[in-house]
Amino acid sequence: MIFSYQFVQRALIATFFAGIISGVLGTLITEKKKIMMTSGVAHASFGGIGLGYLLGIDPIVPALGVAGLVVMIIKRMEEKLSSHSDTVMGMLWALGMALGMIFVGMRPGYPPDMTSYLFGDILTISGRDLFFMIFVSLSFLLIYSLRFEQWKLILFDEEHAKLQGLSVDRYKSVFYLSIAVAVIAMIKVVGIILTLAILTTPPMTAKLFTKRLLPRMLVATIFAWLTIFSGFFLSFLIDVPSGAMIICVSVLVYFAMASGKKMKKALAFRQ
Amino acid sequence: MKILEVRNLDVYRGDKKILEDVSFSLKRGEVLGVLGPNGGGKSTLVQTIARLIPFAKGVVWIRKGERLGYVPQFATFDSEFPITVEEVVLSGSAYYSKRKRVATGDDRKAKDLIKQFQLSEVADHSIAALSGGQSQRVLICRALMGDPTILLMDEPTASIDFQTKDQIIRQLRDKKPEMAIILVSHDLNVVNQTVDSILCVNFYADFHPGNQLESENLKKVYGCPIEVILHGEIPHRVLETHHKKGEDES
Repeated sequence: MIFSYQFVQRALIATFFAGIISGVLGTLITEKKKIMMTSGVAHASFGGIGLGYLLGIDPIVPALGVAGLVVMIIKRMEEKLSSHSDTVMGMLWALGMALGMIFVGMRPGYPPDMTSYLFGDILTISGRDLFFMIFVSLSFLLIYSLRFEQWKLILFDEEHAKLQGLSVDRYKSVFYLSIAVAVIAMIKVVGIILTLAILTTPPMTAKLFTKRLLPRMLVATIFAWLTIFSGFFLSFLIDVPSGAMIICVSVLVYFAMASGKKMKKALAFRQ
Repeated sequence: MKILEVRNLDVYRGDKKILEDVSFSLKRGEVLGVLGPNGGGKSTLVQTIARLIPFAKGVVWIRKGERLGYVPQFATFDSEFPITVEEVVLSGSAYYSKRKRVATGDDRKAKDLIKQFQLSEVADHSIAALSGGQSQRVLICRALMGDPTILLMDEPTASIDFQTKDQIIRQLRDKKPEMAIILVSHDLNVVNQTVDSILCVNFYADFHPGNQLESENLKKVYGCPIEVILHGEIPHRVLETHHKKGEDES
């Protein structure tokens, strides 16, 4: 029975909490159109992972620092030079990857295998990674549920939120830092390159069926659980990389649901 | 009773000075129409009063206990955000930002406002599904949710047809006669029919009691000759040269 293995149990726990991160924060990322920024942060954090290898410390720690720094730079750029923030994001994206490769190259001895960071491997999640993921997902639940109405107000209309006396800048900083933390927490599940897809595909699927924020987050969480679990299970069965399989399943589910909805609409129209 | 006073106000946007030495005051229940050309500083003035823009010099005094409501010129919200009309209206509650749940009675109040502004049919629709005019009515409802004693309306009827415009402004005056309104509008007819006094804003500001402006005043504020003519029943302001050209053609 595969569920008796400790690494499978860890993978299942990781699936549960990754689903929450995707459902809560992924929904906000897609609604606020921070998709490119999320991808940029994920790639730039490779610089931190390389630095971790060079210094001989857990790569997640410097990766978290780099991701946090990048989101705050982007926030500042958006405030000051709104039209250039995309360009700066592109530069930081490439610079992070380049620095990561340089740091790994500077490390004495054989270069380490970076595949699990680039493409993820849910089966190699350590106890510490799992603890980090649980901490992150529960923190998100706390932060976004306790002040859900305020979050909704700020994300919908910043100007009106300011008029209502909310500290919009502080909330935005928390949102941007949440993106950085979410990206790092998801790296072990699907990897830097595929993080974007798992944070955006389940919320996009949920968008097909919901028009309010809270139901969208809940439905996105359910889709994320289903797709991560089935992707992981299929990868185990046919022995292919789990991160890639999870993404294939989540994208296929999206297209199946979108086509199904379109066909249902067409049939209803014909009748 | 004076409830708002602006004295010697200077406002910049970046390095550019937009308003200089603007002064006027507003009494309870008074409706002040703000007229002026595009880029003259009308929106900047309203946003400064709403504390959305800082000012460099002067005083904006609001009597203690007065509550501001603001209807923006262009929808500043994220029109694709998953939020319904009812939720948007509720977000205008004065308690909304301070409490987790909206105050008791707010749901009823939001429903009443939605009904008054003929939005009941779209109350549970996503904001993305609305027309420009409907969106603007939602913003007015949101501003009224906070029971404002001073309502700042920046071109609130831009996407609304002539009859509805008139109806909305009259409705506001009838339902809340105690509420003071600062109404920024390009529509001279709306201003002429509904305001108690007029503030002409074009870098400087001139206050005119009453709701009629002489053509000399219009020329001064717009920087060119202006005359109000009728297209059917719809008043329309034209430059004098444009008017003459029409006469030549006929």
